[in-house]
Amino acid sequence: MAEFRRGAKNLRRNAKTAARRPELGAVISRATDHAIIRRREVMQEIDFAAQRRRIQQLRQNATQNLPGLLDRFKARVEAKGFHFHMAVDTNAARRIVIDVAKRHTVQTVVKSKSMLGEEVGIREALEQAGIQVTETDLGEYIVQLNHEPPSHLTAPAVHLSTGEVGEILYKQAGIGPFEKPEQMAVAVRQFMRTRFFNADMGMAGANALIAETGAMLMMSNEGNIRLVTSLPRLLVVLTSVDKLVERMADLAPLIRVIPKNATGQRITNYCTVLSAPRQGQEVHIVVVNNNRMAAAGDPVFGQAIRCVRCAACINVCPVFRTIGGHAYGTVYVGPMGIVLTNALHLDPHARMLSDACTLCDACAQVCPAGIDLPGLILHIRSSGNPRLIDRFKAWVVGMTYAGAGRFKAAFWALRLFKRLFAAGYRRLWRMLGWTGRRGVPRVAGKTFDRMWDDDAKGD
Amino acid sequence: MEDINLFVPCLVRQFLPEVGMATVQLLRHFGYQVHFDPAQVCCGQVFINWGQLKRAKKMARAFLRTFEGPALVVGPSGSCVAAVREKYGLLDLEKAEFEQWQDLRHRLFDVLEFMQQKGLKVRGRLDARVAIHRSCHLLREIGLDVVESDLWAGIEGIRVVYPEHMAECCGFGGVFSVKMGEVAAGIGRRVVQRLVDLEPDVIVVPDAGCIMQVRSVLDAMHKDIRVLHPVQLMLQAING
Ligand code: SF4
Repeated sequence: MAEFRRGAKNLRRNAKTAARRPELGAVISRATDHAIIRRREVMQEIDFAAQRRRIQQLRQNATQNLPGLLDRFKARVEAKGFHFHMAVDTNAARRIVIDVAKRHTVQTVVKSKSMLGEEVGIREALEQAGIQVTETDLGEYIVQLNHEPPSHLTAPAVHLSTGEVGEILYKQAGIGPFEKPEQMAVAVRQFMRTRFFNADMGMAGANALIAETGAMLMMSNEGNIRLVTSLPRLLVVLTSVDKLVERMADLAPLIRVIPKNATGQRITNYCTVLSAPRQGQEVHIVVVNNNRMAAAGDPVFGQAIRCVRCAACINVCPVFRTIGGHAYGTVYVGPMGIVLTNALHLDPHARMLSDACTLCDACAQVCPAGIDLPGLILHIRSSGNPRLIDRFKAWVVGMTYAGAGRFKAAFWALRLFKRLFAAGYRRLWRMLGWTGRRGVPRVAGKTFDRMWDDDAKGD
Repeated sequence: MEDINLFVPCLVRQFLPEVGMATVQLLRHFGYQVHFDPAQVCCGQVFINWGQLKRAKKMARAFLRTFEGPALVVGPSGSCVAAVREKYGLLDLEKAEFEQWQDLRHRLFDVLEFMQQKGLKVRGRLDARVAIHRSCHLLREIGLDVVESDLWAGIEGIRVVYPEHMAECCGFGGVFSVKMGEVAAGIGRRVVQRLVDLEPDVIVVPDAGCIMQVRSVLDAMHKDIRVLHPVQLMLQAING
């Protein structure tokens, strides 16, 4: 991770670094291929198009009515004895959580994986306050040990090979050394048990907040969320306002589709609906806004708030599959990362992320919320001021394309240049940016126009 | 004989003229009278893809003028055709141009799509193992799956293979290929390796930009495998 810098403005340089490590792309594409193949199999069991319409509709209803749903949710959860907090932004979220922890003199926290937690940097904030935080999802624990952020929404350590994982566990936590993933999982699980039993506070995210009943959906494959939410006497649920849905019944399509779409599982191993604090437990629900309410009303970016974080768009993205998540320099990566980072203004250079897209459309096909990801990425690309160098390049190409005469003359010159200076011709392409381990395009000796004319004469 | 106005995408015209000529010959084979107006330049996809919509609009205007009706317009590029059909809406066209566009949308076709719609079948023989790369825009925007289509049904001896797990982009991506050159090459290496692993005699790629990309990657891998557009392969099959 050290080789990648945080911040969208480092995208180009990070991407170059990543692209020069083909092992990285090999590991990631192999892992995501598994998810893609399984996805295709299990999707045959349902009508994806119909489910997608339902999810799009229910998410649209919710995102267009966030203030109303929030009020209802708040009233319901408070009536049940939950403590409700609204956090306008990252700082507010951190402050609220740390206040709760300090009030209870918390020293240790067990946490389940949450992208919102990453967005507001809650682990770092707690650690700075002198509190020990243990990530309890296996993949997330591994990246925590390796001092790096997750590189994928649902598979945080997807960029690491099994060998690398074994080494990290052994070197950083003294677990192992093991070679088989199963051995590692068992050992970490045993080690985690003590952390669970001794923790002063649990911390979880939520996949959906149900306004009608004031309950929260939490999905996990490892069962750790149940321990995080039930063992410690103090629990903080850190979530965001876009997770609101209206009714309990809305969970059905989400539970049915998200795991199939994300990892190709029929259903997530553990689907927990937390509907009331257990006896003697104090539960704080912190709902973060971070620009979501405003974005939901935006005529262009509003649809992005429908995202249910399934990560299917990330799995199929050719750019992600080659450079991995860290190279983006942002919390959210892949197609949804490009769009959300822009929609929520999470990075001052968010616009630059739109370069990390071939507009191949693969993401749009799999998104269960029906978000037009390529369309939004193109919108981002075409808004704001392009960099001077890009404006210049576009001007040059624009001039040569401004009429058939110029077009022909320009390529005639290129052809001549190629004939006279073979090495210079290659260098010209490299200068234009046609870099990397590939040859350069060969301008044809004879244009189509010539062939057409010759053919006509031949008749 | 029905008239067809040929649309020759800029890359085909300058880098892959043989794809353009194969398109001409194939259309003639099916009995069409093919015309080519050398005043055409570019549909504007380059600039749309670049996010330079003002320049794209200029190109689009010229394109609409060149291909004013009523003749059918056919060209070998799913991505250019898709750009005209689907993306001109981003360009804020004036009323008259907008109407021209609406008219053109319905008589502009990618050559393979055109064959499908008209039920034009190639009959012939070709003894070869053919690995197919499914180009993104033809597959996902035009909706033509070159693998599943019956384009090959009348060709004896052909064995079609393809990477089954997914139709992954070759990494060309228009401006992406020069803006993020190293990543484009990295994607290309992975995706082309998959095609090479199928041990084909020929690799078939149905879009000009993708052909350029796949060829460049094969060059760097020192692999001497021919890369052809489907129309070239079909012509070979017809000529036996
Ligand atoms: S944008 Fe769509 S596909 Fe991507 S994570 Fe969100 S819901 Fe899933």
